Amino acid sequence: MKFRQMLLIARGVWLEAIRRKEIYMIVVISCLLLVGLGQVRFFGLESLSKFYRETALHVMSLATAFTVIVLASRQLPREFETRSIYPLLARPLHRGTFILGKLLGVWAAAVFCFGLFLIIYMMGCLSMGAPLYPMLLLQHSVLQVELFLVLASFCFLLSILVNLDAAITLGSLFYLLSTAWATLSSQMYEPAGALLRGVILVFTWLLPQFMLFDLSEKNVHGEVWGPVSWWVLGQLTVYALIFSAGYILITVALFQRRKL
Amino acid sequence: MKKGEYIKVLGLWLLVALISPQVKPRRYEGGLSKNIQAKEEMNHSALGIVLGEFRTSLSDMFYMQTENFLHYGVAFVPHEHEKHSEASEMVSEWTEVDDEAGEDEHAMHEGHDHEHIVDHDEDVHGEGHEGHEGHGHEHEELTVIPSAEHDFRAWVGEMHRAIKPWQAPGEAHRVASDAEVVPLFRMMTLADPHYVKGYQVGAYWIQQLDAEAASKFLAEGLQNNPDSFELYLMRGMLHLKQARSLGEKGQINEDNVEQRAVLLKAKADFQKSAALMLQVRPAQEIVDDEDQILWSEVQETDAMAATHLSVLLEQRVGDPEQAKRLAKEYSAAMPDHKKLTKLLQEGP
Repeated sequence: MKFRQMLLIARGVWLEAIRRKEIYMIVVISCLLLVGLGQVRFFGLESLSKFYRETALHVMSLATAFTVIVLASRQLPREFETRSIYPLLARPLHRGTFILGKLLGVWAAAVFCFGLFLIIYMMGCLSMGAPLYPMLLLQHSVLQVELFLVLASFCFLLSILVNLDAAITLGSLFYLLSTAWATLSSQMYEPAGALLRGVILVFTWLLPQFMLFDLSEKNVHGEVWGPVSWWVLGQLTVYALIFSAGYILITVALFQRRKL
Repeated sequence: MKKGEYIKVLGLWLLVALISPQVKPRRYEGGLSKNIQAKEEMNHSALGIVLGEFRTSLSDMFYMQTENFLHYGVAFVPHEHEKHSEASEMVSEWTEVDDEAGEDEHAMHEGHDHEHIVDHDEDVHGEGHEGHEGHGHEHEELTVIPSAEHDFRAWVGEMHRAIKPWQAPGEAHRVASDAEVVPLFRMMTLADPHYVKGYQVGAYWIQQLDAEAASKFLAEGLQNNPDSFELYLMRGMLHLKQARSLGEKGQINEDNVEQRAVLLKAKADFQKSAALMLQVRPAQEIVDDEDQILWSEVQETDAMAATHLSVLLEQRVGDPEQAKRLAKEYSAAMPDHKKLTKLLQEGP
């Protein structure tokens, strides 16, 4: 029964996503960009594909991440704004089920977007005669899908803590700065004092490290890098689930304490 | 359309009109491509600087990305060895070949080529060369992702090293032999048409795939940077390589009509390059000052190559007396140029 309720709520997320035009725009523009990139022949040279692969993989990640951020951040504020949450929660529906249903809907939308981009990307590679490195691509896709789950959970949490605009802004900043943080913290830790080292350690362990879910570089240079071991992939899956579960649990706890 | 939307469109149109003059490619110069003096002269608008800085920074990012491409995605901390990927290094190596010509009067006929040069004992990097993989390094290089011993992140660091292209310190240095970097040079010179280094190094990579495309790329570079001595030098180098390709087994014979015609073009480019260089090169005492920022080591290497090749080709396919005059002129400006001094001593 609860799972069916979750599915119904997830379906509602999809229907709303279809009605709202900005998601269309992100997807359509990204698709056009991917198709366009596949057509570019630098200096008329046919054999060059790494630039396409690198740019396309980044566009795919970025576009899907923004779709997730926008969709996830607005679910709860919009329910409150339109007051549609009151009849919903008047039914025998646990608030946790409600949040999980919403999360499932957003995550499924992300998987759909990424899948669509993946098909276009593969068609682009095949048209250029570029290698796909299927195992690396599969692993990259699995990791990206896990990243979107964590990102969606984080944005749900943000949306209950701050207003919609702030949630979208903070979610985007968090996603974009995560990779820079990895490099910055590594460089800063050595010369830092005790206090700053403590801050760096807390950030490193309490915030999800999104760069761990990106195998695009190995995919671009797949001629020398083999697939990652499944043991590593398994550990990262557990890592993603822990963060996602943590964020959702806090979100549900805050949502339950919220007066409607 | 509503009234408000008309106003927005009009506002945007006005904004475009205001911004457009500031983004003209010739209006701003910045980033790594120019020295401070040149930037000061060119930049006079705050908006132009902001927009231009974005553009040149983008070019710099593309340039740094070429390093990653050449290392199969492994990110290294910027280091001295970077300059081995620059055209000046390549030029200095090509010059070495012709220096041998000075020692051996038949050397111009021996058909040295780039592939031959990279077998030189001193070259342990293999960067910017064809087909050299797995070269060892003389020094240990630092990767952006630290090794386990230097990484405070423990498990996170371990995962980071597993997911990203990474190699342990001291591991054989792998350098890509492909020309996949070419699109990056196209992008960086589109972003900043004054990115001379982009044209210079880009032309080297493009000529490996298509000499004509490289020539067109350089022509575009010269159109955007007509005073760049580096680009004339590079075009001369391409002519030199073309001349070699016309000979049997890459040998150069100045009596061969076809080869001679191309060598004359190369000579003209080297002499133009040397003339332009002399106009912008600071005095020797400034160049010798280690703290100066007006003239880089890379520029000096290119300057030496331009003058050396200019004299050398004048000797071989031009007028030996004119070669002597040129050598004297260049030596006066560059008294420390040993190769020129040597050519002067040997005479025509």
